[in-house]
Amino acid sequence: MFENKDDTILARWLAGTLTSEEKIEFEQSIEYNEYLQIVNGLERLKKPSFDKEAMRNRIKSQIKQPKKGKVINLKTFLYATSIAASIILIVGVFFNEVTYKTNIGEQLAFTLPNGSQIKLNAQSKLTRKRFFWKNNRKVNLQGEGFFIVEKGNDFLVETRSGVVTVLGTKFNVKSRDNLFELECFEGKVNFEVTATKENIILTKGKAIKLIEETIQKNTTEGSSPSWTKGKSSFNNVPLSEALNELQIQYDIIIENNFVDISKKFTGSFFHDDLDIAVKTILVPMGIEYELTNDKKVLKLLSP
Amino acid sequence: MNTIHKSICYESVFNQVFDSHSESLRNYLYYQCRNIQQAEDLTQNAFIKLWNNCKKVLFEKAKAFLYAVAKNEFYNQVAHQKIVFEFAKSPQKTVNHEDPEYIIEEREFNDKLQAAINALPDGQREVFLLNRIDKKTYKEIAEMLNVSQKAIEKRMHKALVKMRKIVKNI
Repeated sequence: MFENKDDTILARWLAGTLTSEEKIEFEQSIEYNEYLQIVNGLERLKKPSFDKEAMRNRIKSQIKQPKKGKVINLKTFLYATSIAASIILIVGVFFNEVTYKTNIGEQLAFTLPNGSQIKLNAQSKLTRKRFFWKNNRKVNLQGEGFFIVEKGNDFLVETRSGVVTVLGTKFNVKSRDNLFELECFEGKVNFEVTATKENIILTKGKAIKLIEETIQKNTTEGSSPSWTKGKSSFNNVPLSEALNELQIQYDIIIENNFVDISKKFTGSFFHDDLDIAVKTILVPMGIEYELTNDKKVLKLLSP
Repeated sequence: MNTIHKSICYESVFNQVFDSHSESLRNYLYYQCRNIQQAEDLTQNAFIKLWNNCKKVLFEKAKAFLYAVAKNEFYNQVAHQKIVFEFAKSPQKTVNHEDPEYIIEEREFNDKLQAAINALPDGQREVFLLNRIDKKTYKEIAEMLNVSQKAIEKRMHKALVKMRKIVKNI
């Protein structure tokens, strides 16, 4: 049969690429008319209708839709970021402060983010900013603290009485009620008195005391304040000051029955035994006293 | 025309691709899946996919991309149905052929043809109809399906042999 001559011969016939011999041979074969009938029959079949523009519009409407979706996404993204930003802002405003605090009889040692070491004496509070503190090294102190500051930018200690500025050094700041004391153990510190804007520079071993805006120059010894070693020392201070310190180190109430506590006191007391501490302060001053059994109340009797 | 730098991401270029390929693609899919609605959907989706990937598909590769995407999607759907051709009246009709007997004969023959078309294997049918109905050359079909022209010619040959056997009830 003609169709078995090779496996593409009918395809070539349809395409009109048979050689003239092949063509003659095929036209004389029995199957030829049947194939012709089929091919002619196929000519009557209509190409399926196709509405090109309708499909184009459907495609266009579909490829435009996702873009609308993206706009909504962007909005929700904006909402989400705004909420996140608000939370950060709120946290920043209300929680942008770190506080270190000690109660009566407590001491606290800690390290700041720049590596500076700080010891807080009893009944003291130090605050600093939580965020970006390293860019602006500033702390606020109420009470007494010993600072070992790492070298770097200025380090500022704000107190009621004034601002202590240092570069890198060891110093002790005491700021209680109307009393301000600054002792420099290493390096150099600057103190600016808030009230008068007066600047005082302290070098190693120097100390100042500020009592009601009068500056009193002193000296100090050693490499750290005595309170960091469990001892409170006083040099020619009113007795009241030593008694205040006693109340801060030991949780006691002092009842004074007309005893003059403005007399000057030089000496020290330890933080680990109330009986001995009271004795070391009051016996040399010739003051009689009474300590209740629960060791909560100290009564000053008479000179 | 220099087509090297044409990007399908331009709507004008996309429209051009649509104008040249949408109908053949739809018919090719119809011949394969034998469901006109399914073919329309497949075509539509293929063009949407082309648009979404306009940055990745070169203009010259758009046609191959469309056929490949549509074919893959179709294979995932496979639900074959029958092609129904509307048929035109015999173009070479004469007064003689208007007699009822001839009309009935012609209709019977058409039914046979359609049955034969539907009986062809998928690979043969799509090629055969693209050539006979859509008047695509073997070379064009070979490009669409990404096969050799020789393979297309073999399928055409086999399809025609099988058509005759079915029509003649051999």
